[in-house]
Amino acid sequence: MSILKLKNINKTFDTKSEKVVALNDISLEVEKGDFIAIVGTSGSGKTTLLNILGLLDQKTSGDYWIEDKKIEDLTEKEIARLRNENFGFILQNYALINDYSVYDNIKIPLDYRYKKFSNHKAGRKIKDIAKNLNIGEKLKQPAKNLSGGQKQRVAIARALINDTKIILADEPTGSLDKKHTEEILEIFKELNEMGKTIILITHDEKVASICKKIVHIEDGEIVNE
Amino acid sequence: MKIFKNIKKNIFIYIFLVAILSVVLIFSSFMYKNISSVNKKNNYINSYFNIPNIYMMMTTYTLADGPYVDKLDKEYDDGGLYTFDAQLFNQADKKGIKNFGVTRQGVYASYSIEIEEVKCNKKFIQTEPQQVYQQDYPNLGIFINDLFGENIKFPIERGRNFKTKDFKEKEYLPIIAGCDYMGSFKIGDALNIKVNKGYMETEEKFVKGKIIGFLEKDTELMTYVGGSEIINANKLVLIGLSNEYKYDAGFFGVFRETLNGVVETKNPLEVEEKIMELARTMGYEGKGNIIKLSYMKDAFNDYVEFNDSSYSSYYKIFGISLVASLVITILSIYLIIRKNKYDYGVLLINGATKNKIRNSILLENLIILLIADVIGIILSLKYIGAISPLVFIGYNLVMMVIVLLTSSLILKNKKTIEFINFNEQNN
Repeated sequence: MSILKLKNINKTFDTKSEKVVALNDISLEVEKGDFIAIVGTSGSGKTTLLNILGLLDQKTSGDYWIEDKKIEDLTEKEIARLRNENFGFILQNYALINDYSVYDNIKIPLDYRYKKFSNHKAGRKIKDIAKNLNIGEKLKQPAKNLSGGQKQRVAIARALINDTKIILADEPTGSLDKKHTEEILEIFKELNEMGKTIILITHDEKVASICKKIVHIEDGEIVNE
Repeated sequence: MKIFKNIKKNIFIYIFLVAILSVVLIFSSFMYKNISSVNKKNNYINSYFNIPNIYMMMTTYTLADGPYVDKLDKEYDDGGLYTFDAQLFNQADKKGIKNFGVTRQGVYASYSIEIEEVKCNKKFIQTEPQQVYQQDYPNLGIFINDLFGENIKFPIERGRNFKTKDFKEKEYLPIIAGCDYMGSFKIGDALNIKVNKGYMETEEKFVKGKIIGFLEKDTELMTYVGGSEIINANKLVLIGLSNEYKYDAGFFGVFRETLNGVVETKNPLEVEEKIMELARTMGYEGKGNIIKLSYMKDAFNDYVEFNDSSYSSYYKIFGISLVASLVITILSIYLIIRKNKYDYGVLLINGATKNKIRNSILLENLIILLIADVIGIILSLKYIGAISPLVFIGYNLVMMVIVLLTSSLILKNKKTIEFINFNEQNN
């Protein structure tokens, strides 16, 4: 059974002068344990696709299922909960709150979790994940003091803390040098081997090459899978 | 959302907000204490000295009822001197404001003092008890006999010490001023002395006086009014009285400002212009001080009118500050949401709802409001001496509603995707 299913998804943006088609009749199925690269040039619609998958933006038409739940007419609260329980986001610019400590950044998804963890349990979980990602020593430091590679590890830790099934990564290595890129990709591979479903957006064929499946997108359409 | 971290992040906006809110609250206390109690015309007299005019005051030069000010006797001033009274509608002791004059409308709380002895240079000098009089003003009409004159030494105009014969009335009454007046008068200055033959001023008239000397510092008069009492003479004005006025001593008063209230001109039509010129020279115009010339009969109405316009101005200023605080609060919320857009976006992708973000903004502003309340209460109690609980509570409620509506509206109009458009934001 598909963990995510898109059927005939369209997305258009209204500008002052015209309608811009960002996604055109996109259909895609993501199985549990998939490691998919969505590859396309800038403006091809890949980030729009990721936003719709991650419930950050709404489709103009078409159907979208997360597992067996059809995403339609949901309240903001329900969408936020689905996002919290299903997706971990890893973005190119890390999406960390600079003034927060590493610990507090990793903890954010737990703060909005429907079933709260006790502080003790949350603390133990954060420390374990941080240790595995080699940022265990940095927990008390403000995120702004970290290097790019360390920041991305914090973002990965945050994506994992809530035991979400799916990781959505938008150009996760876009701001990193070659050495850190390799380290982060290695982590991605390990996570996939551990059973995480990963959808990775990139314009870099090398990065895409580590994925099990590559989806090319051009002008809002999937050209091949 | 880490509330205190966010407050720290936006500390300058919040400090500004606290300052504005505190000022409004303190102003509300001021309004509560003063304005609410002076609506009735009858209260104007009470407010005469008690209400601090924080931004504006008025000096009224009251002229006699005729077309021009009083003219001194030709025998004395050769026809070129005019005198007038000045009233300062303000607290006499307000810091930085000279007490330009005393008012004729003051109450004559008279009582008799008899001089028992005079202390000069820390030595008491026995004098014969004499009937004297002191008004509310620090003027002392005193009948001085030969003995008094022989025992007190002070300089007079001709560069010699006072002698008893100087008290003999010639063309003017001799005046000896306490040392506090040395900065205001000099020996030889002409003063207009008001003589009231009764409390109701039905037989008011003026006689001429002249400063002939100053008492040494801390000269003390020992009097007995019921029991013995020592009066420090630094602020007193002693008027040497001849037998003619001996029994009118209780009705003498010297207007200290008369020195300031003498203008010299050969042309009576220039008198008003000269008075204004003098007032400007004395520094009584500008810096919020309004100078107004009016006739004595109109002075009270002028004051009432001025008070009305003052309080109307207070209401306007309070209204403007209230609206300004609302606008600044709305603006600060807009700025904070704009500044924190990135952070809110991070929270939203991790499961926060816009409602939760709004609640955190609400909580931050509640803390800010509480801080402003505490500052407002402390400063109000210290400097105003009163607070209005109802105004405080009302203002807090209004501000919270404003924060709630503003933050809800701004957040509602922004799509989630706008918050997480990270490429447009700096981190």
